[in-house]
Amino acid sequence: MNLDWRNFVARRVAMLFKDGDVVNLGIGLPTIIPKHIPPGVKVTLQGENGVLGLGPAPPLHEINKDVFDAGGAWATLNPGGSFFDSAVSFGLIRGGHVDITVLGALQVDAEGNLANWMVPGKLMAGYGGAMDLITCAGKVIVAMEHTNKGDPKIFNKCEFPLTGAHCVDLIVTNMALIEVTPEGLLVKEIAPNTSVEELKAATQADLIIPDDVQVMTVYE
Amino acid sequence: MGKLMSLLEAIEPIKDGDTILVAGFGPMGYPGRVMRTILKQTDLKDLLFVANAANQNYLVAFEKMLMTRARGLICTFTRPSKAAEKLYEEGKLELVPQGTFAERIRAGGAGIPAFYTPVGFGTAVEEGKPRITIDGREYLMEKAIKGDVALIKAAKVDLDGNCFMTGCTKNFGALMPAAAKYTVVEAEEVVKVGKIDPELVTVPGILVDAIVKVGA
Repeated sequence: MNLDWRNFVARRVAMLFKDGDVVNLGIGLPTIIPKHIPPGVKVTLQGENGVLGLGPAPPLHEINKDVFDAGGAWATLNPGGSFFDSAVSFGLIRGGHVDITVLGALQVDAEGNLANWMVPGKLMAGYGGAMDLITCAGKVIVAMEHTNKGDPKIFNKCEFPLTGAHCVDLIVTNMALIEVTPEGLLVKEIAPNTSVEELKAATQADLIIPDDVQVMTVYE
Repeated sequence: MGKLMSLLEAIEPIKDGDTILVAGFGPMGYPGRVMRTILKQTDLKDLLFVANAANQNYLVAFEKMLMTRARGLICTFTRPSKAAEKLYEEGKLELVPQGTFAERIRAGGAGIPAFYTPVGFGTAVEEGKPRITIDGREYLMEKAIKGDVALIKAAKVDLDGNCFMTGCTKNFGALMPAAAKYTVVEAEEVVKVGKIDPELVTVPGILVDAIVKVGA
């Protein structure tokens, strides 16, 4: 398997989707997930900017300026797609009609708290739709690089201001697939070429690592 | 009196201190010509802006007004915007989760003074807000947003003000007219009454006060 770490993470996340799921993808790494959705699994992509049924990016000469995703990138609409205003769009989200949201994080912690809107004194992005999504989507998956240039991003307790509390269900990184449980962070899978010691060293949070932890694999 | 008018006539009723709702998701659905005219042809000041996002790269006239003409900004996203950062440091920026933002505007136009939402618990959003428990789940009270002025963009508008907004450009422009006392729509295509299929009207014309035809 010759996937780089981003595509490896994207494919592992895509393998979690079930046929018929309605999925909202955040900006950054999550935007490459659609091309990894396994054959036979049909997922409806929602954009909080008012669209259901997002398809792949169009060739430059076929751009329709009315069709874009929530990151502002040009997109296409699949047959059966629909457009609506932002109140309807977030009604879908708040009303529990979005099954899965996948997004990045600056920090995530053992209680399922997530921080991704500001680095105090350095960066302020704002909330966008992330707060609504992580509070109300059926399942919240964080997909990210395990560390920030070697600095841990997974903590016992987030240091940055939170985007949401007790909301994350699953963390998928280039090193591991981790489930947030009431007992703490349960490592379900470790990436190939990653040792338990390396994983612990790259993680500030305490990890529960069962003896039978699986190797993280993706389909060919 | 007809609703079709010049840019200057359309913005004439806007006053110092007004709360102005600005449509758009990034540049899509954003009334750029009206915003540039307010910046360049008026001295309006102390404005409270309500918009999804500030962006110094795509919404340049808006960024300049936020820097020099604004008493505040209510928005959901601020990257990148030096003006928004400045307002934040001055305590003049209210950050709102995007779904709550949309619903506050919808409520403002629909005669609903406040509503309850689960979004924001455990974050800065919950500060100072009344809470309620309904069927075992906790919610925050969020108040409606109303404005003096709404500035929107449509693909097509008829002379009664009926607006057709295409694709993802509906975003907040479809919600803001009802929440404001005075609405200006800019559109590249202005047609006679009856030339927009009633089934395709995004914003009913009774909510629109001024129509400005702009170039592509």
